[in-house]
Amino acid sequence: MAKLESSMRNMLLSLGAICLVCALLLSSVNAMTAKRILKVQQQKTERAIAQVVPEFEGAPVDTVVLLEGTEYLVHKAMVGDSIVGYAIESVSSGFGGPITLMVGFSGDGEIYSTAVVSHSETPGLGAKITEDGSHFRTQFAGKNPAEYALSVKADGGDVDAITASTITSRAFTAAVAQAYNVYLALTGAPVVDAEEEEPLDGEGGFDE
Amino acid sequence: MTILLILVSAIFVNNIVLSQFLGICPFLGVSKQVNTAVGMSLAVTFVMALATCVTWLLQTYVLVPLNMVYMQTVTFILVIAGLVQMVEIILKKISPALYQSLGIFLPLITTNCAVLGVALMVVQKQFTFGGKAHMLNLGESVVFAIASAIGFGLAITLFAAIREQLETSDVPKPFKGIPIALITAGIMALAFMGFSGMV
Amino acid sequence: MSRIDLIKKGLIKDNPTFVLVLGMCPTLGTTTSALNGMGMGLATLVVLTLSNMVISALAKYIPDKVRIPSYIVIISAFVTIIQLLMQAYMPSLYETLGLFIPLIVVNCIVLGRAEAFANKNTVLDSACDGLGIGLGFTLSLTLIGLVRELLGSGSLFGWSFTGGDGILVFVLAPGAFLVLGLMMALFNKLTQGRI
Repeated sequence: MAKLESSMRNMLLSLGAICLVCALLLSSVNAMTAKRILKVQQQKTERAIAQVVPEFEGAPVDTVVLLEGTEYLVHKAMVGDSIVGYAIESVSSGFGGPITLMVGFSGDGEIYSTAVVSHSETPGLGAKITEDGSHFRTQFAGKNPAEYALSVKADGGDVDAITASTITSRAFTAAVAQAYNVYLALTGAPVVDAEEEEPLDGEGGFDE
Repeated sequence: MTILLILVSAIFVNNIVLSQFLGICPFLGVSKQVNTAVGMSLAVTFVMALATCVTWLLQTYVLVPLNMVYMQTVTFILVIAGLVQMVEIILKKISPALYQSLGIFLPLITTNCAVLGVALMVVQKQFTFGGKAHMLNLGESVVFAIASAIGFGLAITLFAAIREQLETSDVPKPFKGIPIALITAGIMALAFMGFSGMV
Repeated sequence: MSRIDLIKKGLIKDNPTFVLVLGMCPTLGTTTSALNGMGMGLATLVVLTLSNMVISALAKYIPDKVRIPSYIVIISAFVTIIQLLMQAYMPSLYETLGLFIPLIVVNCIVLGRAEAFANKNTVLDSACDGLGIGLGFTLSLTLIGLVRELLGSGSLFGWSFTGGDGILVFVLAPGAFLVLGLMMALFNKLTQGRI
């Protein structure tokens, strides 16, 4: 197979042509799959929301809460015109990387349930946070954080940590506590761990 | 403080070779002697830092605004291939001796999964250095790249030192060469696991 | 060499993992379970076969000096297509394999076969070569994943039969190196003098 000689013109032409064809091919595949990829990601969020709040009708109403300089996404689960639950996405630093949770609160301020959206914890140890039926996960259900201290027992709180996975358990609990602060900020109550100097009502970002 | 965290995390806790499995081919291929290992690490550090800088800028100022993130893989690897070519040319002029000793391994840095891997990591994953999970900015990304390369250099140099010893040991025939090297790497990885939880 | 022989060659004689020692990064990083290993192997197989075919078809028109960058563009295009398709239709496998999917582009097997075979042979021969090597790669990854999953999680292809954990180290980093090293030694022992 005789090849084209490596003149500057030939090199530029062939490399350029290949790049162009590839770019066109990729942009069309991207256009074809973009909607489906978006749908897949939405379904993942919807599944997590459904896991953590009581039964609701229709699509959740999304709102953004600004707390201590970070924006949090809150999904309000509705039945008709009344809110039956709040699903709040919360991220904390785990053992192997960020842990993203979806924490659900029912209308009266109790934790309804939790779901793990993503994590990088050690399999067999910290990864046990994904076991939905485990004691660690079910202990949060039905608890009111106003009376249930959201830190692990080793730190003086009420949460039973997973054996040999204290750091992961701490991070998980911290994420739940953070979600609770967002819930309080949204429903107008003063924040539990008030470290900032200004009161919360001045802070913009409320979107009801 | 964040810089220290990034350094400790990338070099020890999440060592790019021993716990993320990137850069294994050169790890196994270039680690027969300590001085080649050191030379390779320096070249990789330079390419990785430069590549991460360029690809970060490319992602932030070209791909995302133009909604062309799907071109990420293609453009990133082309940037890396181009940079390696450039490094080759510069090295040939500045230090022909180093160029000669690195030989075939210099162009092979293009296919070093560690370089592309780190470039992709800083634009795709969220990190938790210094508090909240966030995407790294340019400065943090370059520090992360340099730190990862130092981790690569550390692993490869330690490994080369051990392999030099292995050459004079009596290894059973089926294990000679790569198998015993892999088992050694496994034990090294086990040791590095001791750093977990430090950051 | 017949086309069937070309395919069979990649399975044992030229097995990319145990004989050619190529593509080590995904071999270690994605074999935490048999299914993950298989998924990774198949994704690489598709990229390898398709890029082999295209490069073989275009070999005449690519000047020598730009052949490596051209091959890289073609391979990375196929990798991106696989990436997008997996993200859309196999999201859980996509998330598990993570960074290793785009890293197929720097998998030495793909570029290596393009250089060594595809640019010198016909399209159909190159396809068979890609298929064979890809199948060999998938086979090794699945086997390694099987061993690691069995020992490390007490399950087989996701079907758990110890009701809990196995020897954890095997699904973690050190286990990958150890299992691969031991399996390679076993392979050497079994094929001593036969290839």
